[in-house]
Amino acid sequence: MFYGMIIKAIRFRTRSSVSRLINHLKNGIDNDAVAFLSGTAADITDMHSDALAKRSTYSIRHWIISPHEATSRTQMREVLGMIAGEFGFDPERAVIIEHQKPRTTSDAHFTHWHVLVGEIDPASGKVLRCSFDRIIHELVARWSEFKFGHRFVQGVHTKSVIAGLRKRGASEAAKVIQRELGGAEPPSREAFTNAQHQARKRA
Amino acid sequence: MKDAFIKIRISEADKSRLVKFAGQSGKSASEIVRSALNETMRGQIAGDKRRKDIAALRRSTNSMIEAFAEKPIDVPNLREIAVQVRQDALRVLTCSMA
Repeated sequence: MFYGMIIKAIRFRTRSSVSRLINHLKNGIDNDAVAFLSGTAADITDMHSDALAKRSTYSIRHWIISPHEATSRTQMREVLGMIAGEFGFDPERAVIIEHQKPRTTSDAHFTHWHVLVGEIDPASGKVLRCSFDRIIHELVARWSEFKFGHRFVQGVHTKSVIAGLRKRGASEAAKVIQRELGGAEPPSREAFTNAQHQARKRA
Repeated sequence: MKDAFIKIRISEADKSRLVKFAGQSGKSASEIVRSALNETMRGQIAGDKRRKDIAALRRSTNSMIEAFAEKPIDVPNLREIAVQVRQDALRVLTCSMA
């Protein structure tokens, strides 16, 4: 199966171990190279502490931006700006970690990024928006593919994505995606969750 | 000209806090309410700016701790971070004095 840009998010629970998450992000075994492009591990711990103080169920929103085609850091930051606009946070709050590792298919781009933002805004105490997050991730991914000239990926919510792009004034992107993907059958949903995938890896 | 009048319903506890705060700050309760209204209407919820500045200071301090842990220490980078910490601290102080 051909993949373009994948954007997905994991809502990290306050009861989970943040040091384990940090270890995973700093892990150099699975990855050839790891680099913190913005923020530090201590910032991630602070996000968790803010959520604990607020007694929030979730502490960290963890996005993974994984492009299939070559994507620059500037383009990644553009994607982050779009995500920030959609979910209503200041991109300066994000901790960005770059991972480089061989992908399962040889033609896939070897870099992906982890973007972590506290569920609780330390300034306002407000919780990050999460409504329609899967549709929004798909919208941002398709819009990015359009902007960067990448090949489009058939997602699960193509109809909603096209409507959402029109609503945001991106009528050209909506028109092109409608032409390219409008008639195709949506793919099947994920066969397993992220938690199941991680459990398998640990086993 | 302040010739309009409003009546608002608040709890006894909030009323006590308002009167106490007014006394401490040397302002009338009306002045405090008017100032809160102005701040809110400008989109600056009281305290948000200050907390945002403190969060920025916390983040730059985290960077500094991280830079100290590097071996060998990258001195020019550490200096750059120290300048950032100073700027963030100044912002907090300026905000407190405003």
